[in-house]
Amino acid sequence: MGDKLGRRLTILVGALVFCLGGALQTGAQALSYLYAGRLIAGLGVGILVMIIPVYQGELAHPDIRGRITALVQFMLGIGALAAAWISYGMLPLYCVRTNTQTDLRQARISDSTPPTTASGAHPLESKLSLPFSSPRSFCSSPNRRAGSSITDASRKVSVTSPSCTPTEMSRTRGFKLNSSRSRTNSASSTNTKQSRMLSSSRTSHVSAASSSHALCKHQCR
Amino acid sequence: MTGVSAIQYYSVTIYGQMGIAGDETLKYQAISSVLALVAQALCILLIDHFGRRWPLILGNLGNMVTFIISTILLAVFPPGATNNKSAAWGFIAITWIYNFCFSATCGPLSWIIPAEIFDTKTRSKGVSIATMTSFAFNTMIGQVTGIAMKSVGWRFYIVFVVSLNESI
Repeated sequence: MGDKLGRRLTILVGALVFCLGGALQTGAQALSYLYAGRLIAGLGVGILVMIIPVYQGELAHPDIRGRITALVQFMLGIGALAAAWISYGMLPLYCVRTNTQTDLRQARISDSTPPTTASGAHPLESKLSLPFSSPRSFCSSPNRRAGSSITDASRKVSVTSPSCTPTEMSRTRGFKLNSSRSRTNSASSTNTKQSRMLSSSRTSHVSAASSSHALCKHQCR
Repeated sequence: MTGVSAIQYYSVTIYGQMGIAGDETLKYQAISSVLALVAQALCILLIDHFGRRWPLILGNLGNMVTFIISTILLAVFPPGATNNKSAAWGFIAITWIYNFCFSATCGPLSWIIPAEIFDTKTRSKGVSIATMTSFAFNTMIGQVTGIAMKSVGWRFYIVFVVSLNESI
């Protein structure tokens, strides 16, 4: 393809394929979206990392060729940097939400068991019953359970359901983003649906960050 | 086969086994990525002065030395069995140095060299094959390391020591 289409068109195709994969992952509604998006993004990355060093090497003057081509690795390094620091920054949030210890692997493994929310319903159900959810919310990322249980908890707080135990309340209170969410709750305490939507879109940022970590990790060797 | 995937994917796990808390392990990994970026910037600045050959040789030498040290550390102070803080710190420091060495030399050069050694006719195919091989080994190492570290522990690192030795 690199020879037939030419370098620039191939880069364009690779970028488009990667955009499609990235969009699928970003807008994932279930774990399958993530898998499919990753597959397509991987195809795109494969095209790009093959053709870009070639293109750079052909264009650049020999005096600076090494410098230009090393930019590939430099950009991968920037990706790794963002990924590492984002995942570091997100860990406290993650642990508070899942109420687990700060052991990432353990948390991930324990996520594979089907979690139940405080109300006993499977989180997927409560998620799917939303009339609208942000395109960035991930249904099945590791934060999925966390997101939905927080959603659930915040709903309970907002309607002050009798089944909401003090510990649950305090757990929600101790959460970092709580100030903004409690404002949301007080503002729309009558509108449960709205508050659920808002908090779910809030959690989605965390999920997006954590999956971008996984994405970047894969890209840098 | 330079073991960078093993280091980058599994250092967090190994740090964890050495008794470092989860957020700390991620912090060390994050610091490591900063060092890698600095090394890559250095490479961008200097690679055209030093050519390709010697940076690659010296880089592989550095990688091998750091890998030997970390193998010894893993063998003498197996993660999980001892609670030796100094050994854990030694391992972390060695991982950083390794990452620095790799990012300054082999990492960028693995992109530069395939793009340069082929002529125009074969370049596209040659680079594809080079990239494919690189990714294939990455996938293999990424999949295998977790299992291997569990079953044979530090002995798995010898694989990388040998392969780095050969690449010198």
